[in-house]
Amino acid sequence: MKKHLLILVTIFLPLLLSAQAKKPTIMVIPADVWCTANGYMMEFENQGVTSRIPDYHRAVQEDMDLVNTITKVGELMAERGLPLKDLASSIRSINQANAENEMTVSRTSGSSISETPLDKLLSRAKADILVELSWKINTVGPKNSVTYTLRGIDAYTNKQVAAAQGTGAASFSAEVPVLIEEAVLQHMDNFISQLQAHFDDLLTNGREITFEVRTFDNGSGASLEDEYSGQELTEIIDEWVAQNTVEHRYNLTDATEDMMIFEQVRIPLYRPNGMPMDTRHFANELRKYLKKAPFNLTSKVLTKGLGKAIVVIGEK
Amino acid sequence: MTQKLLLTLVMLFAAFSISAKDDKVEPLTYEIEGAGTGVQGTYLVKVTVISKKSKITEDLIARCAVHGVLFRGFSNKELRQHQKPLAGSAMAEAKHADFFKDFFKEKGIARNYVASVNSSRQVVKSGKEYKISTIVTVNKEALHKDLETAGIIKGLNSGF
Repeated sequence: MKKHLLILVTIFLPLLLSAQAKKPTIMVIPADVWCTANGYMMEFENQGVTSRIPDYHRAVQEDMDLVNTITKVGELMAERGLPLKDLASSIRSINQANAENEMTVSRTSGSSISETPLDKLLSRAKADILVELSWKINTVGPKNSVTYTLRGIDAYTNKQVAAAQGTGAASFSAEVPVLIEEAVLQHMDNFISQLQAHFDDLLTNGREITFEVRTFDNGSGASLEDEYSGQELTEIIDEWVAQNTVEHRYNLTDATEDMMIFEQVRIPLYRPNGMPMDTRHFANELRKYLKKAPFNLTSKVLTKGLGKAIVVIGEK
Repeated sequence: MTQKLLLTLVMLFAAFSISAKDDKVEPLTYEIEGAGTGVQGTYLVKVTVISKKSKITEDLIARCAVHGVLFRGFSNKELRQHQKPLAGSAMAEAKHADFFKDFFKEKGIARNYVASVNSSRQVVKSGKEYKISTIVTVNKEALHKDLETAGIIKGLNSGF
């Protein structure tokens, strides 16, 4: 009897302990416009095209106001129970990866890996929400004021989910760091209440992800137009997505014989067994479905952060 | 016998009148606006209580300030300040009526979240009423935390 009880506890305890949705991660970064205005941009060449991108590393090393502001925002968010991912620490981790990538070259041409620092930041830090921060000091005669903007961007859907913006009252005597601190304190609650509304929406309508189905060009001839019992594979996958999304909420934005792109796909936060659902698991469910008869298709699941999954049909 | 009946009647009426007095919730009549940016974890607000008396208690001012911060929010055009209500909206008050009845009663818990700013009280007579204005500091962080613990408002990590 005791043995049975122990087995039951062993099975159900992990389920009970982990039956919580994944908490969204948030990171504050300086907005591009702030980096440009303060000279923290760098140029790099990406396959022959010159691009300008923010130099976050130099910004967090050299700008005390930025560090103070990020710290203050982090402190206020932590007080509300949601600590932030730290930009400076994330950059250190990226630098480690950079060092490793620099050692990686192709065997035939000796080419190195091409990737923008923003790609690396997003993929390494895996922040669900990037909070873009910028401010500008306005000077009229002896008076100073601060125009402050805070934007919460969903890193995977690229939607603005929360924002706070405004210009504070002008002051004769207050120093710039004090004006910035006042701006942060003044706008943070409104920003958090919008973020709260976004989280409420996640909990009610499911997590929004982007989802793609593609085929490997390996000569196997696998196509999304292949028919099974009179139905094309595109129709079958479309129906599967409809059945597995919250209130059938999704948008099939593009479909060809080689790819299907689903956007605004609302996946449930929990699986039927109570465990948390994520993008990889959602994509894996489709992979398993396609592996079964009558399809018998082998597929590979690729994920990009928490919000994007690609199922590539044809091989592993 | 008559005395006994009279005593019973008096006790009955007394019980009713006491219970009626207890149930009577004095409506909070006030205006609220921003008065600048408070130090971290606080709101600095100007509360104007509209009353028939020129002298009102700090308790009433405190209750009005906390009520305003929770359900009305506040703004100030000059200071370019706008703050949404901490509890979401006035609907939250109706939803948790039982909790807030105790919370906002005279000398209730609400008083603990307010510190009055000294010598800032202004009294203006307007018709038959008085408008008594005071700048007060509301400890919004403690207020938020306590209401979150009581399950009245949600925290950012609720549900995750």
